[in-house]
Amino acid sequence: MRVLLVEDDHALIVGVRHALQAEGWRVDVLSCGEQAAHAGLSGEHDVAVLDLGLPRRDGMDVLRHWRSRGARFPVLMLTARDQLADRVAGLDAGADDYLVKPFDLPELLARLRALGRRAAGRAENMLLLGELVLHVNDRELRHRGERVALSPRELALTELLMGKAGRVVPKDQIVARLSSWESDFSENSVEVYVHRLRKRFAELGVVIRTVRGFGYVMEAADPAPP
Amino acid sequence: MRGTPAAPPSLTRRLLVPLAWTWLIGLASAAVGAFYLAHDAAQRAFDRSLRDEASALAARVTWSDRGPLLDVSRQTLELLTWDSEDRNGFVMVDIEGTPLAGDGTVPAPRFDPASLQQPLLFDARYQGEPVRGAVFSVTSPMIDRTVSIVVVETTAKRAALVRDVQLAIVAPTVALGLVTFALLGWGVNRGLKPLTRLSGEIGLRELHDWRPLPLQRVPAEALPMVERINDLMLDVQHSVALQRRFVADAAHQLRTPVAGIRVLAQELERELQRAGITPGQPLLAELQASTQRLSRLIGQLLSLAGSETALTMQGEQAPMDVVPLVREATEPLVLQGLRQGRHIELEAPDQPVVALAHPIWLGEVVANLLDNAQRYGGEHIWLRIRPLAGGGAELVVEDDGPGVRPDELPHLFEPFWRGERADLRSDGGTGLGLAIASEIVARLGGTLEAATRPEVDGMRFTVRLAA
Repeated sequence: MRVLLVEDDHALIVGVRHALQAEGWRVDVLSCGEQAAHAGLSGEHDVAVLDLGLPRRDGMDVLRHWRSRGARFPVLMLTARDQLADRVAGLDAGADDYLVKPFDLPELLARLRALGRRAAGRAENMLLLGELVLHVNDRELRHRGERVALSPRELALTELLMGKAGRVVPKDQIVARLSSWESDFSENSVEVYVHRLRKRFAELGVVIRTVRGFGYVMEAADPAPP
Repeated sequence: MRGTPAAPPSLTRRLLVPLAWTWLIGLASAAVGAFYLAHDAAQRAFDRSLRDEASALAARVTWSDRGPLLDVSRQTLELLTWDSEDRNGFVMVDIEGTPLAGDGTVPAPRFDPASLQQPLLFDARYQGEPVRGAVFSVTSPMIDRTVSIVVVETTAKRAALVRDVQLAIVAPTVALGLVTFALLGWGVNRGLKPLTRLSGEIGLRELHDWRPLPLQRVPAEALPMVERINDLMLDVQHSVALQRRFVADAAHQLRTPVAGIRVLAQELERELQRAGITPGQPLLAELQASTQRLSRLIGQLLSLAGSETALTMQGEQAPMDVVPLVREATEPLVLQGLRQGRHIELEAPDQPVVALAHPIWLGEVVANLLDNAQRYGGEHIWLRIRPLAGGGAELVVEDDGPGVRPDELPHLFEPFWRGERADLRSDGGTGLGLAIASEIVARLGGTLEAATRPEVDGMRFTVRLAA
């Protein structure tokens, strides 16, 4: 994987570049927004880490420039401002994910890995979680290449949860999605289906947690350290 | 401000009170003048007719051998004693006062020779009422006898006339005064209206509303004052904006180097692992913990500074459904807690719970309370949201942990207060979370209360937000 790192703090550059190279990735570092705006359009990078506070040209501006010129590669935004407005603006400008400084290195690596895989998966319309791969077009779930047999309704629920892996999916959202299958789909039925899936996935390295008052979250049984 | 007087002097009062005195004095002199004038005129007019009656009656006295006779027809008598308002009476007495004809109860004064020349007037009482009377005496040309004719009448008509005249003079004065006052009051109020409107507007404002006051229709006299106030408001706005920018810049300037240190420390650990040096190096672990604490502390300090400026401007908080807000803000912490094996539950009604809030800062409040519960509380944590009876919302964060000593409750919200854990810095807490929560809640116009054992089974924080 080839990563474009746009950052102006020397310590961060040294640390992050070292870590990314240790992952076996190629890293191009740029500290200037003006240069980054051009470099991002070369089409040579699989993913970019972009700091919002850059000299000469703001990170948000660089991102807009990339997106307006058709650069589709995933971008992880780094920001020192944790204001909601900044985050929303970043995501609106076309960022795929964001981290607030100071962040944990393992978290950065995990997110970059996910972004890279998601980009690869998006090309083939796949959802990935742990060792599970959901081929959305073929409506097929595979674990280490082996097909996992699920009913259409179970598959729809899995798709919904996997699409937001690591994030809570509210119960009413599940009801809304699955009620197209069955007219009188209630919140109790959701529990039945979740219970069934939970049993199926227990040996596949994936858990579905009930978050009371929130909804359900699907994640790898051993997620990246917090 | 020094001790304020009971009631500040009002401009309206100051303008109207001297006028009121002038008017009252004028009114009093008019009333007194009217009384004397009317009394005098009435007395003179009625006295004349009384005298005429006495003379007319006296002219009817004829002298016979047996003495004086009063030759009055029945009609005349009736005319004399009958009156619509006043009670009249007459009597003819001799010089000793012995009644010879007429009504014996009519009071007759002692004989006065002057009454031979012209009728004399006197005041007396007749049948329990004050009366005015006239006495006229005649002497017989032939025999040496003198009789007096006394005519009296009650004073009702006179009093009525006096009243009428007084009323005719005083009533217009009173009416004129009232109209004058109404007009003056209206004029003064109209003149002061822009000021009243201005102070009304200031009174209605939120505590942190620093927008300039409108200048239109402010009277010229008050303009410099209002402009000065507006200058001050702009100054406050300006310094708030400045502080905000400073906090945002400080956030960037502080967080970036800390991020660098953190990444370097973590990468160093991975590098050592890759080089085969056993993980869990005490030096590295300590370095990691320190950087983590430093990041958290910086984050919290910035949050505290940020919340101070963020909610200073009015209009940044608005009524909103707090349930999705709480869900979004606490989700990462809740997931983290669940992964650590805690039991965390959110109880919220299906309907929206609307309260005056701010999407980021209310989230910060709940996140800090939940973080506190996860750091120091028990295994079970409950988040509860419910609407308040009179509007607004109540958010509760409760855990079943050890709680704090009751005497520690008042210190919970002091910055950097960490109770008995002050010497135990390994919990990663900064001592700022609750201070931040309390600061923000106060700025949102709500209240934050803490309760502990034995009142509750653990520790409970209650946030109440206004509607």
